[in-house]
Amino acid sequence: MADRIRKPSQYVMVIDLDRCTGCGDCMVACAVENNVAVPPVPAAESRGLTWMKVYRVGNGRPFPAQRFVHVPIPCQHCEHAPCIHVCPVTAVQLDPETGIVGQIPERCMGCRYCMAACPYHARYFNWYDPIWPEGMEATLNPDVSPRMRGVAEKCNLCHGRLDRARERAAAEGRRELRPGEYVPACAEACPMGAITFGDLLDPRSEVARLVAGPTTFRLLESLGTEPKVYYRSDHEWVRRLGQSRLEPLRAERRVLPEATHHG
Amino acid sequence: MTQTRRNFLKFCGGATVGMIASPLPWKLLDDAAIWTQNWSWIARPPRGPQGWRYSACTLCPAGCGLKARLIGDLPVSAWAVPGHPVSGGCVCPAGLGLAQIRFHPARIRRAQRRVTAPDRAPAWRPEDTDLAIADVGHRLRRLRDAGALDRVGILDLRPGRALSTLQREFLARLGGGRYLTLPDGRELAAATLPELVGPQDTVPGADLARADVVISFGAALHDGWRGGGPAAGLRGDHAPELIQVESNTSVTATLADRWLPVRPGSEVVLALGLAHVLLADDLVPASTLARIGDLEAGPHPGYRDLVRRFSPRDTAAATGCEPRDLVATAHRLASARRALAVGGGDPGGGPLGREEEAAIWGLNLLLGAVGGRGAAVLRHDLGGIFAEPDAPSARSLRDLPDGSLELLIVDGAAPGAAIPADLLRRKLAGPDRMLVALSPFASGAATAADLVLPVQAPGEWSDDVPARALAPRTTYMVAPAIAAAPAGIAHPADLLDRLAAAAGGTRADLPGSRRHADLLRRRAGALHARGRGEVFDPADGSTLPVANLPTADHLVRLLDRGGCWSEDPTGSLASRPVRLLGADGSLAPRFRELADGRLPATTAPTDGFPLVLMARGRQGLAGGGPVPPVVNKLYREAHLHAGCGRAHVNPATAAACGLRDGAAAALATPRGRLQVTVVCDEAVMPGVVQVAVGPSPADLGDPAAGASDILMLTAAAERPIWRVEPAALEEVPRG
Amino acid sequence: MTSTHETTGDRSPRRRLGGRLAVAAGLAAGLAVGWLLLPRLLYGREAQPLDFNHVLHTDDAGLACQDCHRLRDDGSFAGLPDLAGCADCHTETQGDSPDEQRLVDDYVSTGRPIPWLVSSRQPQNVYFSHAAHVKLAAIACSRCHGDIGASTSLPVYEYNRISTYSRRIWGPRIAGGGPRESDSMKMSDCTDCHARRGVADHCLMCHK
Repeated sequence: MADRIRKPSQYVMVIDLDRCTGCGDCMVACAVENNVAVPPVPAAESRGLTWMKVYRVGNGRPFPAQRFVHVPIPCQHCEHAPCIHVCPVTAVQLDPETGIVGQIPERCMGCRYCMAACPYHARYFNWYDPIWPEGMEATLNPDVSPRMRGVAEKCNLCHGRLDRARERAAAEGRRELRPGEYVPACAEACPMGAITFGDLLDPRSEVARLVAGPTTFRLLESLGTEPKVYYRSDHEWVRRLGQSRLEPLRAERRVLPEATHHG
Repeated sequence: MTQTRRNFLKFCGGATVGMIASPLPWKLLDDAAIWTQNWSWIARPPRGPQGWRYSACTLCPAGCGLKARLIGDLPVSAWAVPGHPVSGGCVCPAGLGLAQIRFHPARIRRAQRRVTAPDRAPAWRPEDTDLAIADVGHRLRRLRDAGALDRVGILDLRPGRALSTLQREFLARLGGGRYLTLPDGRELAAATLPELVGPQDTVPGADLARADVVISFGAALHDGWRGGGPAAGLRGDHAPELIQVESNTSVTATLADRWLPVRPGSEVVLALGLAHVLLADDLVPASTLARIGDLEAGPHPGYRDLVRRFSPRDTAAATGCEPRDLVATAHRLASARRALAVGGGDPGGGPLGREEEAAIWGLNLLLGAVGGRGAAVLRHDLGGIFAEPDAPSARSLRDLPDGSLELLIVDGAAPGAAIPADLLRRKLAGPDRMLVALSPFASGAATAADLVLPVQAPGEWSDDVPARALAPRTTYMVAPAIAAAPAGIAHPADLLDRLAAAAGGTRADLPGSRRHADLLRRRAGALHARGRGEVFDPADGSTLPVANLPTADHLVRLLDRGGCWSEDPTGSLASRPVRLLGADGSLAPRFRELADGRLPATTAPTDGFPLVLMARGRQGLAGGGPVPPVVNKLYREAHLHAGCGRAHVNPATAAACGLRDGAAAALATPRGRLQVTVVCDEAVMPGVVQVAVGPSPADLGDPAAGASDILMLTAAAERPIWRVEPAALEEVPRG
Repeated sequence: MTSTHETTGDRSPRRRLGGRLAVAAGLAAGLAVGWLLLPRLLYGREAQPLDFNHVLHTDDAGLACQDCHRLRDDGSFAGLPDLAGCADCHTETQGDSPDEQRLVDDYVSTGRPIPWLVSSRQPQNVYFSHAAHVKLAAIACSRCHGDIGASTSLPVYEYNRISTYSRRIWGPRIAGGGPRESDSMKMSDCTDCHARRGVADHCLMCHK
């Protein structure tokens, strides 16, 4: 029996905020990979649908002490995911084998409890039928099924790519994946190499080294959701921002090292 | 059992209970649920085996290596090629959408004739393409009969391609006409170096990746949107230390190791101030100084004397940056093994001036960065390698006097930088004046056109990609088509043929697309015959010296499979005399004016315009070309691109003007007024109004949203430099 | 109350029996419709474009399943062979079956792909890896596809009129109708087998 069980993995993502330029490559790669619809009539921004969104945030200080950071936010794949607990129809599941929080649209009944529960605003709702500009359906990715109107959806770490990688490994008679065989679209596309992806349970992996770093953090750690998306920045204000604790910093009127010029 | 109403009802009740106890209702409910998941209008992805086709992006001059993922024969997505010599595994959001861009809503399949006045938002009426071609042919014929073919021009927005050669051939078959280009900031920067070091058989490149320290004078290195190429050298753990000289907090400024906020338009003063410190503190090696011909005063004033006027204190006063920062920066540059200064301007804000680029190259020459193993490299140009016949030198459209053309044909290639629509239109005059765009989309330069003729879209035909200006290596790629073009849409070379035929020009022996393919093969042959350089094979990431390829056909095949030829820079300036004030010393008066406090990019201060307008753009987007709809959607939802309708100002500036965030305001310059929405943004220097060039994200790609609106408020149509313009911002009542 | 009295008085044993009979008849009819008629009405039947004799190809021509239904190098499953696969042997007829004659005349010589009706094709939202099941778990083809390899003629294609899915892949069996367990490919068959073999059955393993 043992040979039938795949060795468990903990797929995590470490996003280096000091490298992110906010170019949006991750968002576009994600949308192209995961068949995110592009309605011709611009939807209200609040009703837009994406699996990965880049936010631009400032440190709130006046020119020239102001600094900005771009924060890409996909689903955080929480170990204790609020969206799983609130879903009345078990449409969301944590895969213990990979650590991926998955959602299947066919089971979703559109109550949007999960969207209310998610502290990271990483869930989106299909307010409209998925439609693309004429002819563009021919460019959909066959590894991801288009969703229907009235269901919630979110990032699943490009599970279609995981499937493809496992399939290729299986064809070679391997049950386990080699490092780097499975990489989500955003991590592949990032032109700055800001997104590192890998298996945290592999002690030799780059993510294991990064996660152990002193400047690595997760968003809103005090909530105890234990996300599997990590961020890192050398700037203290960015790390505080990740905990939504910028205000005390501002109140202290402390001169941040990065508020003046570097070096 | 009698048939009574009561028994009938009992029967029905029994039947209901029976059916409930059977699978019927549950099964129907279940199937109906499945049915709702499969509405006929929900798109079905294609089925088929997965494959890859290697190519390059042709949406801007950067030319990033791409691999298209195919399902069956259809490309469904495009991804960066790891380790690619041009783009180093990077590609911008637009390139990621290359497989989708063919289905852009702005795609045209018939000729479009403009029905609105040139100064109004464009609207078109579809027209039969054959009739439209006949109309252009008729006009060309009339101009030729009148002996006025010099009033016909063809504007090549991406010169150096095989299609460029066919464009010149088109003019030759017509019997005359002007072959025009419109160099952007990077091309102008590259063209400035020969003024200082004499004519070379090489062109300069900026090798960011191999520099230790890079000082960028407003170059949009990290803001470069369609700039996978330039940014490629700046990623990773071994990225060079970056010093950004820029007024506003761009992304490049945010990510830089050191940011020097300077007053708008004063970058050149800072460059000369750094040169001052380098000379005053003896940071330039004697061997370098010995090669500078005009360091000391001769027939013209000496460089040292001129630069002496840019002391740290004076420079600080002019630029607004701290004197000690200036001195520290100069010392950092001098202590680095390879320091590199880059300019090149902004894709939307326009090029830097000639004296600014000369000052930046001067800095590189003082730092010993140019040629040899330097960070500013000298490489061979493909033009010299291909040496195609009938290649009259191109002329810049800017250098033509206004009104000197009657018919201008604009090629559909998306440029890297902004094209002021006014600039195109003001070159036209005469009763029959007409701007014809050959374009797959009703966007970009086509928005200024009177007539748009449809051609095949990027990815549907095999364009070739020469190295962009300032590229660190000489490269050449063919971007093989990744998808079939829709029936009835012409290859750009075939469309030129049809225009030539309609104008009664001489006939070619082969169709244009065939001649284009032959030319691509001849170019590969020329590279093979030269026997230098190497070819990158994207399929396995290997690199093979060209000398090892037995025949030219091997190179042709590799290029057809998306391979990339490249050659290391070999040029050297060793023992070359250098003149930092230009061969004829003509830069001296300009530097003196700078020392007197006249900044190059500012027009004289005007009463009533207390602010400065700085246009800004992302490469490619600033040119107004098509943007994949998915990019449009995501940029809009994530607020990643402001668009031309939004004026970004510092909250302090807004308060001084009595404006709140989101207020409707009129942005005025001496050249005009525009209605804008005020956006309070700490990133913008107080006193500056920053507006993005290019359509707003709500209508990226919408022809009605003029790409160059904001440029009409600047000097873009009159002068090559339009970075800084006096401006005023005042509230207007909404409605 | 008088009305109550009259009503009870009306209900003679005979009438009461009639009422019970009506209920029973209704119940029987309802059950019959639900259990017997529904499966017949719900599923449409469609003939394949050509008949195909698996035995002829496996036993006589000596082919194995994976010679035609092959795994590609990247592990994906090619499913039915394309026309080129058939044309390898059937550029001209080899026997005298009318179906082979039609194969050559209508498809091989025209290049038109054969519009097979694939009863085991899963819906768009289902992911299934043949490589994992056949190569890693060494499960025989017949475990899911039944003994189709030993058949001399193709089964009739049955599809659900509402959901449009093939009968073999969707919905529970009704009254023993429909495909047997060994050749049924419904979600419950997948999860049952996974549970029996102690393999993970997370939603996203099979749904995409």
